[in-house]
Amino acid sequence: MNGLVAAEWLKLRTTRLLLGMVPAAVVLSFAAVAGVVLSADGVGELESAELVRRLLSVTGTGAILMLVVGILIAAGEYRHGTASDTFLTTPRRDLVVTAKLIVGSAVGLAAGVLSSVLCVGLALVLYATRDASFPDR
Amino acid sequence: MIDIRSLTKSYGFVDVVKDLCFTAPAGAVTGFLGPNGAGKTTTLRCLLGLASPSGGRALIDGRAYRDLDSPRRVVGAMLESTGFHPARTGRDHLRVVARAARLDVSRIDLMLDVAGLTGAMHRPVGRYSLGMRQRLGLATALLGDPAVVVLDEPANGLDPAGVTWVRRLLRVCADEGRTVLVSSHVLAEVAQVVDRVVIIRDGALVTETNVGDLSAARVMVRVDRLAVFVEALRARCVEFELLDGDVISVSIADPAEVGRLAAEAGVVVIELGRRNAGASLEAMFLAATGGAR
Repeated sequence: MNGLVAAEWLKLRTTRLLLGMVPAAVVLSFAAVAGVVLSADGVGELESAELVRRLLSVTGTGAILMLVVGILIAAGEYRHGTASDTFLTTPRRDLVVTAKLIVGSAVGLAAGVLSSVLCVGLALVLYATRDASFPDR
Repeated sequence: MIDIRSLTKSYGFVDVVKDLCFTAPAGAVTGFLGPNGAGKTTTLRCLLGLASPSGGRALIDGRAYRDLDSPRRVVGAMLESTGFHPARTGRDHLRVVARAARLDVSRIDLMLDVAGLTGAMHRPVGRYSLGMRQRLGLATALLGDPAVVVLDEPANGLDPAGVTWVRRLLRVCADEGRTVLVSSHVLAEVAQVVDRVVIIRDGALVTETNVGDLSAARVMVRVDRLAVFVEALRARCVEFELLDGDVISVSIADPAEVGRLAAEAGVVVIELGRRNAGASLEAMFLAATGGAR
């Protein structure tokens, strides 16, 4: 199983899928965050708990692209005809699917954490430019 | 060795493979021939655990593919449908297989060298030519140093130099003692290299034979007075067969012996020759695949 997980991770690293999708997810989340901050009326609204809640909820907008990554991890094998090679190596298909699930989940989680941290950073910068700060509570 | 025992595969009501039996022994190249749609690929998919047989068994050294502990070390296979991720480099493709199958990483560069892809190994496969992809597929199949090699139409789309390269590779594999099973719908691609042929049509076996046995004991002869010579052959209880154009196919291995018989019968030999294996292989293949459809 370790070998299979390592192989699935290697598969992901040897294509450009993550290179395109992770930055795109971050950009998408950035756009949503910027939209929320820029559409706020003045410092008062910016510092309201309600706006911060909205802000945090849109930091996950890019997750939709991680969903696409998950689909492509599986569907890509059929699209490119690599599935038969994969099943020749590992005739037990449940093991292949499990390995893909493990790698996909880990990548999605890592990308989500990265994107969230960057989004909060962006929000801090945008707040600073409008002379606002996050409410304490 | 590969052992196909009464293999049947149905899709819906259609039997794509029907009660098929044949073997492919170690140390020989077995050609698996038949027209398009004869069931070759389906048979190979059953053998490789990619499809489940509806009946019968397909065994590799006595075991089903799915029961092998480390399939890549036992069987190296290349299927027609095998593809590559276009953005992955040739070397990375082999790394992925080696990692998943826990193979010796040092064989990656060796196989790239065998396939003549060392110069292209860092290029994405999407920029490979058809021939390079085919060679990468073969390198993948041989990566685990398998005792059994199964190739589906390996010469498809290759230029003449590529076909020659594939033939040589098959020969080397068999001479190293591996079991080689190679399918093709074009006899000429494999005729020169196969030790054994299995011909199927409509999912059923037509012929299974060693090429060496095919025409071992036959001489083709044409004489001026057919009836007289036929009479002489009958008198001596020699087996023969009348072919088109008054040619007699005599089941005697030595042309000199046939010439002597003709002299004794007092007929003039017009043409005399050994029937070569290639010609009878082709006749067999044509009979199995040709006109009668």
